[in-house]
Amino acid sequence: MNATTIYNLILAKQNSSPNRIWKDVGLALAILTVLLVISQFAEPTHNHSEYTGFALAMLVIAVIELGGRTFSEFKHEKIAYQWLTLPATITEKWLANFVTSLILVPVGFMLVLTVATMLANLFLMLFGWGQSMPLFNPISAEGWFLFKFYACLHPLLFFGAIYFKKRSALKTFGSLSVFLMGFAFYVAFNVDFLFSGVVEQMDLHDHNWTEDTVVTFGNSLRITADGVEFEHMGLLKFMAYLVTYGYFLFFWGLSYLRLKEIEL
Amino acid sequence: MITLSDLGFTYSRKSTVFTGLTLNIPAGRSVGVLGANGAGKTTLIKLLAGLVSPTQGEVSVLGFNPRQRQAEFYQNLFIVPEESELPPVTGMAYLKLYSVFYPNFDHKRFSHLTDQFDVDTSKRLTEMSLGQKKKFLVAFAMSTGCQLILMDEPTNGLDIPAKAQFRDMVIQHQSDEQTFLICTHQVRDLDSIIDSVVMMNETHAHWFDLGELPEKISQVSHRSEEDVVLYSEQRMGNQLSIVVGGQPHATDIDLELLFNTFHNNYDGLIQAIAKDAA
Repeated sequence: MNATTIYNLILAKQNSSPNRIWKDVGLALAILTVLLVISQFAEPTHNHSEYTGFALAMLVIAVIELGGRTFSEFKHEKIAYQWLTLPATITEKWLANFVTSLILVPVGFMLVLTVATMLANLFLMLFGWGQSMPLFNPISAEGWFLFKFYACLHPLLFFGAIYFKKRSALKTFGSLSVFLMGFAFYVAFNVDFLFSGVVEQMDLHDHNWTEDTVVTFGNSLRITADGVEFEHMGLLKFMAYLVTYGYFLFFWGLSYLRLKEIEL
Repeated sequence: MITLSDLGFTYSRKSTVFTGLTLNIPAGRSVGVLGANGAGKTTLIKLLAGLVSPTQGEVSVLGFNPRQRQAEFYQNLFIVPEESELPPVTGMAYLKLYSVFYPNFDHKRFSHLTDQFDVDTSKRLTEMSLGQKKKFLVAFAMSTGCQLILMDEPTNGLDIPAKAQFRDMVIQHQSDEQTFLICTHQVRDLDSIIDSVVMMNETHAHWFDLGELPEKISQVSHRSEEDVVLYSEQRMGNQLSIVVGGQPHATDIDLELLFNTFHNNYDGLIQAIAKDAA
């Protein structure tokens, strides 16, 4: 694996449609500036974290980048032949898309957000429409939150980008919804099947009942007003970590395998 | 250089492109690939370039398995497709962006070839005509220094002078180690530049060395009774035949006639060549 090759791949892809980059940046800047001016005019704030709009904007960027741009060079046969036969390994081609979509795009967007808050302030001051707002600082807790939000969406949409040829974001969210609904029904069915008897036997007026206890399941699980108490909390936390990291590794890994297997 | 062993490819159970193709192509040759429409010429190019997986048999190109898609493999293979969509950048920008991937890229040669082809590299590739794009890609391909260049219908879209320029370029700029594999159905565009030919249909593929062929079979316009005729057809009032063995009054073997012989009497043709070789 060669870092220069990855850099050259990123450069080749981004510069293969230079106008698009400037159009995207210009459009994002214009839209964000207008929205910031309007929101500051309507409800002045000194704290960006109040804006759920920033996270929403990040979601829009994720859908645009991961739904339309990522792996786009492999989706059309007349272009894909060239990218597939470009002298670079599959790992390098995958990493070029990975680095662009996971790091360059969100960081670039946060810089655009900073410039947008500067421009919004400029307009607010020039036209006297209201009080100024603090500049958005990408190197802050707020910036880190936005990045984490984007990064959580990344694995799923990144896989969708290589798996679906057209309207990948829509199809990914659609598939996820269908899967989650199916999973919810499956879990509900199993819970009903396995625990319906237990619930009937559960004695809510048991002598162990305290003011704080809402429900107990045997001796290992107790739900109280302060939260869930589980005898095997360590195991539960371990499972939670496993699912979290598994989610990232599973979809990133799957996207790599898909790229490896792609055919024209 | 290229080895196909019992190669087969099917899109589905009902749609077999070809099956059981076996052949060897040595390095340093200009090879024409001739086949009827739907015989799988483009599919063969895709298989050689690792763009699809064979459903039967094996392919080896430059000592690599193309499906592994190794960077070293692609440093020595360039494909000029029949139709391509080039990015909306100038020819020079394209050169700067993509030549870095080829360690043996020859910038002087590229400049020379684009001049010879009369391609304006300051123009955006999307604003070029189909013929100009093709000439640009061919010039780029020939400058990469790749050992194997695959071209799918390279003369499609070229006007008559450009076809002549294309032939001159291939003859002038092909190095000893370089192999050109050119798929086409326009046989006459190729016959002056190729030194060997792969003929293929759904079940057979064979590599013919055009230099050695006249020792094994001949094309005659007046056959004698002793001649073993492999194929014969009427052309412009003449009865042209492909017969077994070298003949004193033979004319140059016409590729179309050879292809028709291959298509209509495959077994006879292969036997004639094998018998003579033995």
